[in-house]
This record gives sequence, structure tokens and C-alpha cells, in this order.
Amino acid sequence: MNNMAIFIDISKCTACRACQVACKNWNQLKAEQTENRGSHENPPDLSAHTWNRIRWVEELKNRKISWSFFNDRCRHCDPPDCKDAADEFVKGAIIKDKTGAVIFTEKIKAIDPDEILSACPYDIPRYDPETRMIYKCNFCFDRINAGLTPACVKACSTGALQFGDKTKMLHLAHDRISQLGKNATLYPGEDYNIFWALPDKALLKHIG
Amino acid sequence: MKTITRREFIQISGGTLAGFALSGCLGVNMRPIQESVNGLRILHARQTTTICPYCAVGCGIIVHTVKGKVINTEGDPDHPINEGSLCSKGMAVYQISHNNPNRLTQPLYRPPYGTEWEEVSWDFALDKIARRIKETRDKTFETTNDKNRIVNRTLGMASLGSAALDNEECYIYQKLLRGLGLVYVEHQARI
Repeated sequence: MNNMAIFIDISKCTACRACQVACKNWNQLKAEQTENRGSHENPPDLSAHTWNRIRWVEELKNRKISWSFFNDRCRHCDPPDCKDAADEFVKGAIIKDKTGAVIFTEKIKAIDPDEILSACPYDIPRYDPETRMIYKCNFCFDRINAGLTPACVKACSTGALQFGDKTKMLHLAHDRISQLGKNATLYPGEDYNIFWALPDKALLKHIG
Repeated sequence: MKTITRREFIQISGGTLAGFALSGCLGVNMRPIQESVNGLRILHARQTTTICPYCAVGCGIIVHTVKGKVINTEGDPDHPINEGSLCSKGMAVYQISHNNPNRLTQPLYRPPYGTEWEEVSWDFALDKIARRIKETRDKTFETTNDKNRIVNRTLGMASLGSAALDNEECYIYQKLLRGLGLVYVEHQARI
């Protein structure tokens, strides 16, 4: 299996949240009760049962509301900081798969969860006291190894999420960024297995 | 063909057993190994195609079942409408299967002046519905309106069709209702 990647084009996302539901459906994660917080953004945060979430970036531009939808989830860094942190305690608790997936194994239960949670620069993993496991997006590595696309990518109807060989996806991303104009940028960078094309650099202050 | 002696058989099976035991001890690192051994959880599931019951777009869905139980649903990549993708509602179609503990399995009936719903048999429910329809229709049926034009209708009943009905079911349903003379025929399929 080659080094794979998901390329997320924010400018094509309509926040239908099919990716969110597809993730819950495939990984059999339970639903969560949430409250209306005055925003369409729901649920309010990632959790042990929500590994993929659309973040609403609401801005006032020329007295008009402008929406950007950022698909927040594990970036599958290459190399992953969480793996380095975990290896200090238990070798192999976090695996970097050949597909590029960063996978948390059951060995992680032996490590103090704060060590893993604080190692992530993007605040993605979530601890579940019930199972004593730390959860996050697993890149649907079971689907990828069986030749399928990740559940979220398959569900995306606008083509905002695309999956393929990392070199091909990076090529696609750079093409798209040049189309989107001078302000567009690649986030977080090339040393990741999931990357975003942001139509405006100003979005970085909301995402980072 | 090489025949295996009793001694060889014991050696082989002993070795295999030891292998199993070893992997058991070392296998803390479970999920990736489990996945590669068991494969995809839908690998041996039966695939059936269906149409999403919600809106008028009519996306194709593949339902994965094992022994008659739905284990997964996802977009049908061969369907010309959605080509494998789905919206958030269509993606959640898994929840309207028998996996949902909130799903009704029996008709519920609340008698006049009753405060609680009670479970009744299908025979009871269908007989009741049929009798009520007959009574109401007999009472309110009008052959002509006040301008003496032939209308053959009843204004005593209305129908709000289920959003989970597909095109063909809706057609049959509305045929039945028009046959009875209903005018207020609605269908809630716009969400």
C-alpha cells in the first residue's frame, strides 16, 4: 500500500456534515446529546465518539456574514508527535501505518492519557474514562487496506474531500491553491497525510 | 500423497498451538492485527441495493447484512444519481433499521379519552382504521357541491403520507385515497 492522503478543499464544503455521520456510521460511534448554542455548528467539540467535525468559521465581512467550514480531525502527521511521546513509555502504543495512518492501539491504556493528549499540537485526541482509551480519527485504515476509500471521503458529494496517493493529492492541492488565488494556502503543510486548501490565509487564525 | 504419521501430527499441532499461545501473550497491540486477520467487517456481508427514503433526489444505498441483520449502510457507487456519496440524512439510514431501539414494532392505539398508548395487534389496528374510514366517508361523502356540479368527494378526511414512502408506494397510496374521494392528500417529502 502506498502512502495515502486526504485532501480537503474548504472552498467546496457546504457543511452538509455527511462526513461526520459517515464517520459515526462506519466506526459505530454512539450519538451525543447536544444543545443549541446559537450556531449551526454541532456537536460543539470533538469527543471520544466524534472523530471528525465541521467547524464553522463565522466572520463579518462588509456587514455580511461569511461562513467557512473547516473539517477538523487528526492530521495524521508524518512523523507524529504523539507517537514520539508514546514511545517514551510503551513502544508501539501508537503506530504510523504504511498507508500514513496514525493508529492508537490498546497498549495506549498503559500510558497516562495526559502525556498523549498534551503531545498533540492540534488538540485532537480525546480520552474516554469508561474504556480508558484515547480516540481519534484512524484514517479508516481497515477500509484503505481493503481497497476502499475512507468513509468520510466516500460520503462527500461535493468533492471537498478527496483521497488517493499522497503525491497525487499534493499535486491536486497545489493546483487548486493556484486556482484559488494569491491568498490561498496549504494547511498544515506537506508533512501530513491530511491537508487542507484554505481559500484565505486569514482563516489560519481561527484554525491554528 | 504423503501420509502424516501420528508423531508428525502431534508435532505440527503442538507447534501451531504454541504459535497461537504466543500471539495471545504478545497481542496487546490488538486492533490493527485483528483487522488484518478478520478483514473488513463488511467483507462477508450480503449486499443489497435500495433507494434512500428521504428526499426526491433518490440516492442509491448499499445495505450490508449478515444473517438478516443490517450491519452497515453506505452510498452505492454504481448508482447514477449519487455515485457513492450521500448527505448526512442518507448516511444515517442505518438508524431506521431494526438496530434502532426506538423503532416501533407493533401498532399503538390510544382509545377515545385514553391518556396512554397501548400496543395492539395488526388485525385490531387495520379493522379499526377500515371501520373509521368507512364511517367517516359514509357520513361526509358529497356527490355534488353547492353549485350542483358533480364532485364525488369527501372533505371529512385528510391524508399526510409518510416521508419514508418511495415514488411507487406514494403512487399506489394516492390511488387508494383518490378512490375514496379524498381531496386533502399530502406527502411530507421535502426535508
